[in-house]
Amino acid sequence: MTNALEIKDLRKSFGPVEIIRGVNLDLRKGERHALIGPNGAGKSTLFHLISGRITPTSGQILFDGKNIAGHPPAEIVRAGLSRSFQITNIFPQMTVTENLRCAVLWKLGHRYTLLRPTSSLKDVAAECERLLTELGLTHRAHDTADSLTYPEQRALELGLAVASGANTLLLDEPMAGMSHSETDAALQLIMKVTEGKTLLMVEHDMGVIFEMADRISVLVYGEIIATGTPEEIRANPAVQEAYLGASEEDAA
Amino acid sequence: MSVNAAETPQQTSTPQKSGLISGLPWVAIAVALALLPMIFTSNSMISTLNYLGTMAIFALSYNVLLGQTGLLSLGHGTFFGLGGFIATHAVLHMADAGWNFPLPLVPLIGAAGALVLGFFGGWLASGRGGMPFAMITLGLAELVYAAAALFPSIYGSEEGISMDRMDLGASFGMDYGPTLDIYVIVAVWFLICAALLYFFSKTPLGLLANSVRDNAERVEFIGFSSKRVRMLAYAIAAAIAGVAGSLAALNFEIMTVNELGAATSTLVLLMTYIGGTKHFFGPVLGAIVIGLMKIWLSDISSAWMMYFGLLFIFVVMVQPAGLAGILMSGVTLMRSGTFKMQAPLLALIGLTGLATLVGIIVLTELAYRAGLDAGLGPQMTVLWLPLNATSVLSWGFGFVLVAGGVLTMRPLLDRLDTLRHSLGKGEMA
Ligand SMILES: Nc1ncnc2c1ncn2[C@@H]1O[C@H](COP(=O)(O)OP(=O)(O)OP(=O)(O)O)[C@@H](O)[C@H]1O
Ligand SMILES: [Mg+2]
Repeated sequence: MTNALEIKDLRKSFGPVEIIRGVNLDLRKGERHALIGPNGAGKSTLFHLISGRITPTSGQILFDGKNIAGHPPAEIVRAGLSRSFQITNIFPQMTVTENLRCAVLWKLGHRYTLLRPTSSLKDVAAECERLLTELGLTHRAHDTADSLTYPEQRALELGLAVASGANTLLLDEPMAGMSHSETDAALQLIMKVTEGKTLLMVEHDMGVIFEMADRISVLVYGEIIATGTPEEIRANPAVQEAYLGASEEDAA
Repeated sequence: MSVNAAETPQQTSTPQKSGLISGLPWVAIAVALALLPMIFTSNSMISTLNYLGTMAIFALSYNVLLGQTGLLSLGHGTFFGLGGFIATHAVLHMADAGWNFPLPLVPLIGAAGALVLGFFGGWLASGRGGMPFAMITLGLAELVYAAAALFPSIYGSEEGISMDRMDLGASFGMDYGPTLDIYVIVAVWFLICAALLYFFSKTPLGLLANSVRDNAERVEFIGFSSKRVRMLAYAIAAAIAGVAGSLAALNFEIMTVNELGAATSTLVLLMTYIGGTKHFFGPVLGAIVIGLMKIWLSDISSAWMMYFGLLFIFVVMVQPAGLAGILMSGVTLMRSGTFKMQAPLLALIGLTGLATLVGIIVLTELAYRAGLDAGLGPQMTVLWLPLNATSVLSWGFGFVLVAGGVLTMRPLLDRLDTLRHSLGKGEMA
């Protein structure tokens, strides 16, 4: 088994409109895979389908060989696939530490416990400490999440996805809306926290993509029109026409 | 990065420190509970204390839903009432059977019954939060209330079901005749329930409840089920409400169907919200203030429900953190060291508020006298002021106070804002 994720002829319609139109995509174990495509192509919708937020109309999503299409999100996370959101989706009134505590509870085996205070759980404390350091949020540990700056909130968003201990991560535009220097820092952070894990990431910044991705898939109008190494994608005429041409001209 | 490294050791030392400090308020509460009956010695006062303690437990249980899990239940009175009925029947049956079951433990039975029913109700209501949850809890409460009428042998007819708390005999050196004996039971149960709920708020489940309140959807993506968390919170809140209902049954020795009706559900919502949902002891404050209003105000004014409503609107509009929020901002103000500079303006604001309040009371009382209580004649005394419900002067007096107060308040608050702003700047410099 070399594929972490195999998506087979996945479709999703909202009413009469088909948004995901037969997606086929493989994610190899341990690879960093970028998903690119114009606005409204269906990248986030595809993530919602994989992570269980919405149910596909048809098709299969095999995770570690098991079909998870239509399963509830909690079950998918427990199976080892977690995600972050394009629009920051954290626990705003809770502190950064509390956010992370919630996210590490399940993997450490503390379910709906009400027999011991959270602060007495050594493993939770240690894991949160480690995550805070890794995310660079230690100095913000006791501030509420809604008081964080935008890049800090994005770091926490990433942290919640990573904290669940999943070995496959879907990150939806983790660096959207950041400045150049912030993007660099965020990219370093993502590379660090996803080390040894399988990564599927939506990103618009071509510089970032060609720097980090082992392979790239291009989603246009709900279909994957190409998958390949950065060089192959750059050379692909269909991709150039549909997507890259325009943005590389912009960049030039 | 060096900043982070410097802070890490401090952080690890906080738990032990807070452990010591957090113990102190509990000792203070226990001492206060022991002193109260020595200060308020009359039978009716102790009976009032019993009622307030019961409602404080009830409000604390409601805040598990409202404040901690972010759930607006419109049917929490159901579990108060059911707990009370279960306790009443438990006492009646055990007395019949000749058992010598200790009376102070009867609330355990009410709690167990309410817990089971809470699991069932929670299972039905917890699929989603927000509006659907509120509507389902309202529906369930109405259902239970309507069904109660079908079983007069369980819920009694109009006069309810009564029992004699002395029938179970003496235990723990008390025979439970005097109100003071019941006070001991209520006080101990208050400590137990408050401690349990406080502990709950610190456990992983309490943390998950907060996360469901903040962002129920995301909870699913970190591996937990929001539904399960809601259901557990609902059942726990129900069990503690069952304790409160049982204590009410022991205190009054009678339960009527009204106890599980909409009025009870509304009352606990008002108490909790007015007290403040964001502070653990906010609901206790609300229960005391509203409870006293209910007992005393209903004696001296037929408009007491009106004042209730006005207070609720005031809190919703002006201070959503509730009375506890007002108290906490007062504490912050005292600590800020700028209280002296703000004091004159604050006093002025206080006086204006007081004048407005007097105006509102005058108008409300006049309106009640002119309408509902017209039979009592137009002459009346409100707050030592001789008034006449048919006199333009009386009405004008009320209007001038309210209008003047409201008009003066705005610029005063603006000036306070400006002052605080400049004080804040001064601190920075
Ligand atoms: N719940 C829904 N109901 C109807 N249409 C939807 C729904 N969700 C998404 N869409 C539509 O599906 C299309 C794809 O949306 P999606 O958010 O997946 O795009 P995207 O590739 O992530 O775009 P972006 O780069 O802007 O994030 C859009 O046209 C959107 O309007
Ligand atoms: Mg998107």
